[in-house]
Amino acid sequence: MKSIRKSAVVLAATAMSLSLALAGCSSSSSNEAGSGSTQAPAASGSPAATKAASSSDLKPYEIKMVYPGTAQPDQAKVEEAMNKILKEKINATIKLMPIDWGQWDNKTNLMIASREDFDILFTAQWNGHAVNVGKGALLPLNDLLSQYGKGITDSLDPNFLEGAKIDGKNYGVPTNKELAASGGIVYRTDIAKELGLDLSNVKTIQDLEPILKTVKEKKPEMTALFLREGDNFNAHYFAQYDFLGDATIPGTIMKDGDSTKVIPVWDQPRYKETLKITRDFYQKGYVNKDAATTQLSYQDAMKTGNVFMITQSLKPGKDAEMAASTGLIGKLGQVEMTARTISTGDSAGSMLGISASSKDPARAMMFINLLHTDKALNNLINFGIEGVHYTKVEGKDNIIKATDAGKNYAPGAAWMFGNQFLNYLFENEDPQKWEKYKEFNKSGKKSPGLGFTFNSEPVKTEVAAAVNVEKEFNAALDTGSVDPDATLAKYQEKMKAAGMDKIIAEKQKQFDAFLATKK
Amino acid sequence: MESYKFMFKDWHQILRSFGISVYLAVVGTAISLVVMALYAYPISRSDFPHKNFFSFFMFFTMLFNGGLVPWYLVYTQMLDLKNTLAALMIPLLVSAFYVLLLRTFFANSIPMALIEAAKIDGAGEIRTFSQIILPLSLPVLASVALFQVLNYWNDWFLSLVFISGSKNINLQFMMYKTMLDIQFLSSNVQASQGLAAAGGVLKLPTETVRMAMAVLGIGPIVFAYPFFQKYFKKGLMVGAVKG
Repeated sequence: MKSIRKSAVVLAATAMSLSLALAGCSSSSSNEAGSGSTQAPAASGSPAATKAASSSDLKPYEIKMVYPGTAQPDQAKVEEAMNKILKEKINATIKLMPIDWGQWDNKTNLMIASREDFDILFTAQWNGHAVNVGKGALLPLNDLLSQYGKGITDSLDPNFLEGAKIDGKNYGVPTNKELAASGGIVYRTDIAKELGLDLSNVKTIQDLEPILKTVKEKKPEMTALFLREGDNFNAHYFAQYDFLGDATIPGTIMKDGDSTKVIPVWDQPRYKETLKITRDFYQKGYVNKDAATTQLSYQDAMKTGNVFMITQSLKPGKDAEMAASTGLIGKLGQVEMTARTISTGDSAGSMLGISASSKDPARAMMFINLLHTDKALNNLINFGIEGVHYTKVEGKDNIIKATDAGKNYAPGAAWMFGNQFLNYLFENEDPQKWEKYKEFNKSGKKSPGLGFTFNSEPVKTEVAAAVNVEKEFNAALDTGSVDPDATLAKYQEKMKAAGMDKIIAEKQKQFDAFLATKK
Repeated sequence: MESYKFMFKDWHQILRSFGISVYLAVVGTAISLVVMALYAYPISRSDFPHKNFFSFFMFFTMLFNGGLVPWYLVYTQMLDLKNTLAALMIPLLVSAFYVLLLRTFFANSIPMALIEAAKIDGAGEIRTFSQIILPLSLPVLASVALFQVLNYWNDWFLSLVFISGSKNINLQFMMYKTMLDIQFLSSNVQASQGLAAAGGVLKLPTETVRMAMAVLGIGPIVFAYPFFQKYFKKGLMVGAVKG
């Protein structure tokens, strides 16, 4: 029997070790050495690198940048071209690590949790920025900014950094782009012309009535006004509600008001008025019938070619941008219908943070600084190599057109990388776009809640319940699909039952504490 | 037909992913069968002294696991398998449930007398296992193999977690990716707006194209079924021991 036992043990042991041996047989195609855990990051304030006097006294370093997007076929070429600039300026090389949108949340969470070694991470208020900061995934940047981010602080509107703060510190460098936002509509100019409609003096939602009426009568096959959940007259950008963070959590102030009292959205004077008009439009058949449930994005709706008007969060040139992405070039116009306001969401909508696992945060900051200041580098990462992916239009320094090979490098991520004011413009865009942006940003009114983001952790359960109630009612109410008078009472009742008062009290408490620190 | 044409524009990616899926299903299943059978056999033997320990060792993993992050750490940092095919294969190699299934079969359907007979005839342990036990266990091996083929074929999660870029992704994930992208962009308005603003347009396939993908995805696995079918029908144990 002894021999049986022995060999059986051997068998079992073989089986167990086989799985380990197999693992050893694989060759890794990634070029990173699988070093174990990274070292604890240097405390902010004592960056490892020396002063950036010149690139020669910096050690060579590879900066890894993780951002959402689709990997481009010509990425390696562009990296190479970027490295030429970076070597000379900060003696670094860049490795772009795009992650597909759909995998973004999953993958970045794992990368953060496993303290994987990378330097720069795209982050945004709508993408769990506060959560990641809470996890300690991102370094506070204020010291680094003052040391290596001169170019950033000089060119960036201070409202950006102020709005993106969490507990008085910045954990991401906001992209320099449109800062304010206003609500309005985007409509088909070609159809308006055909029907002889003039939208130049539209000021309120009510003013749209005769226009929609004409469209409905003359073009019955068209959807005069396409509404959907999140894109309607009651959307936060149109009605100017500031939810102080996540727009699914009840409790608002007004972006264009001064009151700092957090109240339920239906107590805002604008709310019921808007619902009434929307309901009226819906009953008259101006609005798409499936508005409450449609999964069609506004873009796809526009693309179908039988939608006359949609509501949009506006900025200069939004119509041209949309035209390009929906294939309706030259056929769209926009009408601003609200004040221009700046809220936390607008200022922190796109940022580059530095990972706590970065081995050289200082160098990462230098790179972000270059993205904000170095025109050549900025356009390289956004549009590829001149003469390969795009050519400049004759006699214009700032206007480009894509070549046939342009599709091999079109990340469409200019809004994530540094400074949009350095971007070249495509032919079909307004050549004055950036000047208009600057003016637009200047004219924005700050929301009383700028810089504050609500932390829903203490009222997690109530929030979960409230979000479900919202799902049930919001889309139907906001799109005019149901009678507001009857439904609103039910909505309020259910919200109260979900613990709305507790959420609002908590919001108010945090908000007051925030306001106290600002004084 | 149009949809299939559209799909095969990107044929080299599809072919690659398809190849990876097939490779994983075939090779992964083969290796996993060998490993699991080798583990299950000793713990099925009543005369193996450490049987209980090893059984429990396997059973324990069914009750408790380390959680996603430690699991991810083991594969990426300890074994450094990020972006490799091995990362798509190894995590599914051994499933505790199938090991116990095999063990039960070995223990219950194969009489001890048979093993003793082989021993008396001068066969060693390895020979007994490979020439007596395995051929007699075809039914259970076939069913486990079928499950494993399905597991490998249907798996997209491993690709999601371990693979970046599109070089090493399997077919299921290639399809799933577009779904994920659609989901993400419809739930994050700001992202889609930013994307639209930059002129980057995600080419999202239409409903029909997605259906065409689904057909492509189930195609080969449909053929696997009849192949395994014949083993299920085979009776067991045709008078190997004289009663």
